[in-house]
Amino acid sequence: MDTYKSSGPGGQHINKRESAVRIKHVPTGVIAQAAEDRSQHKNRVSALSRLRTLLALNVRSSVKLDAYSPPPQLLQILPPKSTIRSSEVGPQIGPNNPKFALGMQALLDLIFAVEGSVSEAAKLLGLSTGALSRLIRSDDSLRIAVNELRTSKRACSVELCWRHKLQGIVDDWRIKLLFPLLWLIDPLLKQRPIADAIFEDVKQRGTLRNILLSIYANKKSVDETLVEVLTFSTYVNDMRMIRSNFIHEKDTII
Amino acid sequence: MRVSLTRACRFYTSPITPKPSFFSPRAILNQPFSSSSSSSSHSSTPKPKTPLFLKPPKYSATLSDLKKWHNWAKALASSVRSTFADSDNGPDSSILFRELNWLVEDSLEDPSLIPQLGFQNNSQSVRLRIGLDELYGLWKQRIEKRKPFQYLVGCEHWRDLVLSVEEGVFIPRPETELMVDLVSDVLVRDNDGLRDGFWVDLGTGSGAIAIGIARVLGSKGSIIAVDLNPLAAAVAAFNAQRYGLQDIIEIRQGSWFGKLKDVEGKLSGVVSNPPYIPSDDISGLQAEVGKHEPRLALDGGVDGLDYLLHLCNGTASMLKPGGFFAFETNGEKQCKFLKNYLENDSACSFCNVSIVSDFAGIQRFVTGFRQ
Repeated sequence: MDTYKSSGPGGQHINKRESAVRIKHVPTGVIAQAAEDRSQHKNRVSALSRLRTLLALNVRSSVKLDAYSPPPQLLQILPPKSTIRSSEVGPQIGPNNPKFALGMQALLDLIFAVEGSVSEAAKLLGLSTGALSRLIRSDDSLRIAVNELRTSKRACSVELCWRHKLQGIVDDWRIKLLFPLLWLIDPLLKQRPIADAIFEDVKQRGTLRNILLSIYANKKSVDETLVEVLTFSTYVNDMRMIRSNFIHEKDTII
Repeated sequence: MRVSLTRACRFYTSPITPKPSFFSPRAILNQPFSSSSSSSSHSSTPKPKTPLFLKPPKYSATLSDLKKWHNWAKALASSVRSTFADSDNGPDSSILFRELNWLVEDSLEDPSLIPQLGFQNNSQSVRLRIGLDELYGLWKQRIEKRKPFQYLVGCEHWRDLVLSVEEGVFIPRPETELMVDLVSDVLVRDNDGLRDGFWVDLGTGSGAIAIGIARVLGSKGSIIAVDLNPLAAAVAAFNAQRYGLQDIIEIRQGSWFGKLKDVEGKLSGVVSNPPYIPSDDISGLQAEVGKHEPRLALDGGVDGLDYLLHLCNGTASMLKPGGFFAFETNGEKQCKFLKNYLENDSACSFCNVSIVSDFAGIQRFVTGFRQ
């Protein structure tokens, strides 16, 4: 690993505040950089953490599936309810922990090995599909990486599920009618009680299942698991995603 | 009516707030000079200046006036292009733009307003930590006199710290950030044997290394930071106090080992970033460094080795057995020379003498242990 900086004697000779840092992982050629902070040290810390994440996302190792035993770094990022996770592993670490990238890397290796099936991976990790989906969604880059691993498959990825849900909601005639109004009262919509009142209906599993059935060609894939995964939501994020989907891309049907 | 309008236009600061020159920023700092054992407290002890980002936002200006200044400053920076870089390896326009952004950040009470600078003719008032006419003066000095950016804003971001610096005090360099990691590596490997006892930072300047190490040593640490320059000693004390380290770091004003007789032979560690530039190179340095930073902190004599050799000669008697030292140097030539010098010391005082490179790949530090 080496760091890039401008050439010259450096040290006491120079005062040029070049705090940007770029790091290259020589074996794989992956590069990460950081320039936001005024301190080179802080940029180094950011760049290192970005490099770790990039390596975790891009560099795959193969996994033996028969008699699969998850490595310790993967166990650490699993929630406590996992049946294969013993208490010796310690508390669950989240995306802000520097070690999360290592666990993420191992998880992606596993998902790649099971050809993108979240449910298969979940079984091997002693988790319900929903619980593993939640873990995947807890970090944006992990979510996107899992989605990329699965896009070639016919099963429904977490990312695709989200887009379907939103498309379904957006296509709903009630929303189409309401949207101009929503645009005007958007700030109000960010208030939880008002938002809940409007979207109460959609949140109910029955309505959601109907919406999904109306947009899926393959009705069989609209099963309980899918509905369960999709009913987990934070309202404000949904609103933002709805707005951006509607304005920028009128044809996001997958 | 027209008369009062033109009068109002001439004042950049709102007529309500007073002009900056009446208020000395030093009055804000009521703290007495470090009460720790500076053996001779002069009545003319220098008072450190408050960095810009810590000054109270007593001034104000309209967004459009601020925008006018910002445009002027950008144009001035833009006119530089690569002239500084070509003449003495100084900053080019892109670096100056970045510095200008940081200057604005430190000047505004609410830096989140920066995007709004784009809107013309906005008569909304913003609060500033410095008068707008002073801002004109500062940036003019930056470009025309090549005054270092850090002296404009009175601080430097270094490691995870923000250190106060001012004219007369050496500005800590990014290379030196690694020094703290060298110490922390030693402490980890050593199983805390060196965590007790005194550490010494010689030529502390703003106190950067001392403060960095103090945060690694923890609350049981003891550090003595030495500087010949009383202003540096005062600034180092101010910085130590800002980080709540005044009980861990003791500032002593004096020359190298001169004021350290009481800890001779007892030190766990000696670290230093001494002046190491060869005298003849000083005139060729970029103007920000050569014409504004204290020569005392830069000039290392004919080969730049004067003080480094002095440190090498004195360290053996200062360190306890197993004690650690780390010195920053001018580069490969000095590193190799010093390693050789230390390893061939007739008394065989040192072991594990190593050279460590900085992040640019230049051999920068010489480290080792007392036998």
